[in-house]
Amino acid sequence: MLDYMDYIVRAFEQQTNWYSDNSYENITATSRSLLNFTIPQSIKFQTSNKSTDYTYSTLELTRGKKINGSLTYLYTDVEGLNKILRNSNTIALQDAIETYKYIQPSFTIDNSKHLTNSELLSFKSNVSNSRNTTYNEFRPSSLYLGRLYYPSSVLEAMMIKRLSPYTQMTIKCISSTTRGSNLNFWTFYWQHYKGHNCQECVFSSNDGLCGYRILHNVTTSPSKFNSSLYNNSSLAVGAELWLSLSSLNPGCSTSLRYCTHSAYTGRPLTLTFTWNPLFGHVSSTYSAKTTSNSTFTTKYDFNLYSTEANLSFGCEFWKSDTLTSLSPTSINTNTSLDVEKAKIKIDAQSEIIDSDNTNQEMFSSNRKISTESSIMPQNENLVNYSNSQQQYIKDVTHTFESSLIRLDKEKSIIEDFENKFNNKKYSSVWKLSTSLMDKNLKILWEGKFKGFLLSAGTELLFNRQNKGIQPMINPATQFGINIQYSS
Amino acid sequence: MSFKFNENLFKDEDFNEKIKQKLTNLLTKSLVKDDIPKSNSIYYDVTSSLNNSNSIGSSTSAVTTATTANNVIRSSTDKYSNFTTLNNNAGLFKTSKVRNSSTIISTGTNSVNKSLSNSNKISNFLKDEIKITKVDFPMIPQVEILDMDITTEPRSLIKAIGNISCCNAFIQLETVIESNLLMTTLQMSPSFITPRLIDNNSFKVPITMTFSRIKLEAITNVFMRNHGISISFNDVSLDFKFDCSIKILQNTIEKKLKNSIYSIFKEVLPTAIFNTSQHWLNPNKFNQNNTNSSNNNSNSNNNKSKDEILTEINKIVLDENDLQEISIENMSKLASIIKSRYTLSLHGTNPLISNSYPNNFINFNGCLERQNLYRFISAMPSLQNFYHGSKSNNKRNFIANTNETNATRSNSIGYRVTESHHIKGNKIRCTTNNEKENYLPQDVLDTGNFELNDIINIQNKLYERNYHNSNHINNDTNSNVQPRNRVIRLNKLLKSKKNKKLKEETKEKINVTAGSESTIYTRENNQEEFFESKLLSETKEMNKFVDSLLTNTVNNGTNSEKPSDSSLSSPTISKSIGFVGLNSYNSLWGYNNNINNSIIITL
Repeated sequence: MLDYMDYIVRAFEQQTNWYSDNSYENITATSRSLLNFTIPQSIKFQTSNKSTDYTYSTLELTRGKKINGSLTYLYTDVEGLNKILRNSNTIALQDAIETYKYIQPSFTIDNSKHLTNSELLSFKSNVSNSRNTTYNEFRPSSLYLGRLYYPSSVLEAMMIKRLSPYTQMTIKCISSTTRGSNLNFWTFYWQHYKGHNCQECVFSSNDGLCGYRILHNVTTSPSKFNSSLYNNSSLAVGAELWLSLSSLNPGCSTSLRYCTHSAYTGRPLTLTFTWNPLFGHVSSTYSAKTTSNSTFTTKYDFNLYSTEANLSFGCEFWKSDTLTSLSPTSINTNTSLDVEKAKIKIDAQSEIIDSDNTNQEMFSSNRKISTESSIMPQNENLVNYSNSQQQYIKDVTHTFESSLIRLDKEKSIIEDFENKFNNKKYSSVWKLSTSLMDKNLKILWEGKFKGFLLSAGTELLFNRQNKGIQPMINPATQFGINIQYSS
Repeated sequence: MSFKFNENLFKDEDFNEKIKQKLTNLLTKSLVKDDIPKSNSIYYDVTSSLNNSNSIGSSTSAVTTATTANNVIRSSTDKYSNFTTLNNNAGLFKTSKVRNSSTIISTGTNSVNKSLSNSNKISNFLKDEIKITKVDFPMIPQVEILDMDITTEPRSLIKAIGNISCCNAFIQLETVIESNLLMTTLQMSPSFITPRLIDNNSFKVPITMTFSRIKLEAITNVFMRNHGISISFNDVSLDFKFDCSIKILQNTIEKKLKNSIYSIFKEVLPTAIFNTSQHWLNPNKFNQNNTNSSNNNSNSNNNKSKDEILTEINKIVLDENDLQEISIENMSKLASIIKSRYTLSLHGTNPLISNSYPNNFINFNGCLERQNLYRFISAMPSLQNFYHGSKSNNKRNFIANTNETNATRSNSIGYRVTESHHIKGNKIRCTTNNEKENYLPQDVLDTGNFELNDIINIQNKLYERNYHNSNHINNDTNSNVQPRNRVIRLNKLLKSKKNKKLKEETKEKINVTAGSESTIYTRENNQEEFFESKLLSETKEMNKFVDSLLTNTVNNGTNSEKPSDSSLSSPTISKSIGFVGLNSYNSLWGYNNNINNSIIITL
């Protein structure tokens, strides 16, 4: 379950059009959320409050071996955050939980930018997208967060600042005055996202760790060789380099991510491949959303040097509240209970249409014309053409008709599936994960209950060292429950 | 004087196996003790202090330092047996059970660790227990005592200089280390400020480290005090060839190892040996002493962290189980040394005596190595000697001489009173033999030729001796205490005023030099009067005098029956007054008219 402040930070990034999915840090986010989800270790109660549109606060109490607490304050100057933020009663469960990540192909994001910059002029009349105007008007925005733990008196502070449309700066600090421990560290992130590359520079005063990571989106345009005409797949390649200056410990890895959809069912798939050349560690993950209610992930780890291998398996099952679930078509008709949510969906829809147009533009002008049935403005263009030209166009349309129909069909399948998941109202989710080498089973249940967000989980260890396969449960450290309430 | 370890033991394959097992146990023991799930670093007391950085080299070298520490300790056992040999020299047989195999340091829990773990400076890089795979000691370690000084004051202190050498040893160990130290570092740091790394998994690497051609030579100073042995290493040369399966780390580890050897020899080993000796010599006082020593250590070091380290070191105790055996060869060697050496003290060198007092470690007080010393002790100062030396009467009846009987004698037949009546519960060696009892010859009594002052003198001497002996037996640890000027309680025995006056006189006489003793000599043979003059001259000429005494007793021996060895008595030496007793007499003294000589020398 996402911490409330993390939720706000995420909303902040969404509002400022910062795509954290394109950071190398999150290249394996899907498999991580399914395999390495965190299990609450104690009883934790968290109540959050939106005091104004710009300030938020959280009080947290944790009952571990003793009672600890923390107070968090957050300030942000970004506009419109209150429109997308939900309280714990109205929030969609899939927004409050880390789950399968739908990776938007980079060109869909890029194109919207490109459109605003250079090529948009000719299409400006086509689509009047309110989103595009927001891109034009970049406003530097920032977010400040401070958290004080007691009684241990540890202070955490974070500042996120958008410097330009392409850069974001993050500074995190931790300071502790408790005796003996010298915990005064800060970490600095500088992220730059332009073109198809997302670059990050990180420096942490802890151990003098400095790092550089880059993610490059290979598919900059819709594929020309794919048999599937509507192409929503994306391929990204990234690498990271780390070096701690004080102890000279190096670290590096390189990764590849491929996201696509099943052509017939429209179900999304994510494949990642990670290689650590320094330690010869290779891992590959395969995540698939088999139905709108279930996701499965497998991960295979292998070390080239030591031939050590590990197989992990994770899955999640969503339980929907059938009575209140939305039909896929309900987005268009705005009949959803959550009106504002539907609005966002429409925005997304229009964005996709927008990108669709650019796709067609890149194919050929004929293709553009051929989509007259679906896009109205192009009908107007047709009027100006002569009869012979119209005839020619009709021929072309006829030639590509079958594939165009297929394209629409594929597109609708994929989008339907995605929308189905996004608009379904889920009440709870079960997450299971196991690993062959660790011989453990992690179980996590998360759900909504009377306006509270609950999260409870445990980890069972099947350790052979403890004579036999008797499950050794250590509830003191491995079991916990989180209760979250926000208004 | 050099000692060799039991050769067969080293030839035996079991030896290597045993050491292998012991070292493995030791190294894993600390792992088990400190192993708290996740995020807790495992370190060895000593090495954690030596390695402050997180680099690959240093961390792995921590492992190796620990093992070399053992390695060194292994060779330090040589020293340990050296101590036992010292003990054996002093005639302590029973307690000196030392096997010359490996000894083990048991490390206490590491509190330093916990304090440091907060500052993220220690990473958990050890992933498996340390196994010793091969051990080989082809050459027998040698211990050589270059010099030994036991005449120093206070007497309970023994100083010695020893040379220890061991060469061509071979040790190989294996363990598994975590090579991705960046991961271990980041795991320790708070998650809020730690950037997330994508593929930062652990990579465990088995590592094999080989120490070959280990050569150790050390000159040591050895001090033995009442309840502990302390060693200081003066000139240590330890050389070994180091080979690591990960070649990148080899140089770094080796460098770190050589750096840490210094502190092992300077701090770890001496403390370990001292603690063990304390534990071993007087287990009752161990705890107390341990705290004392730790206090001393902490006082001497103002640095806090060093305090902690030192207290950690203080917990190091050599494994007692390893001290259960001893090389037979060495034991027989020591036995022969002891047999060949009768000291002036003689008290304590007798195996039988030390058997009766197994914990008596101070028995070698003031022992001097003299060959043929038994000749000197063959005579004891006693009333018999005195009066028969001066007057060679041949009467069969004698009356026991105590002061009491002196005052109230009524019987013609004397009864003997041993000195044990004077000091309750104490054995008095000079009188345990019936034949050496302190009788006053009857003819002396009859003729009334005795003088009370002489009798009192003699009795006082005997009393003095026995009193101090008993003190040694009862209070080992108080042997350093200077005996106070003893006033002999004659009041009980001599109740008349006259005797009280005499007592004051005797008091003086205890303290006087040979001058007062000379009165005794005047009653003796002319021949011995010749010696008397020598005695009076200088105490520095003792040796010469003793030689001349030897000739004297030999001369006397021609006239009388020579005493058999079995009848030898052992006069004892008190703290303040040293005696060289010279007695030769016949066992059938009371009935024969043999010439008896007695010389009393006051040093």
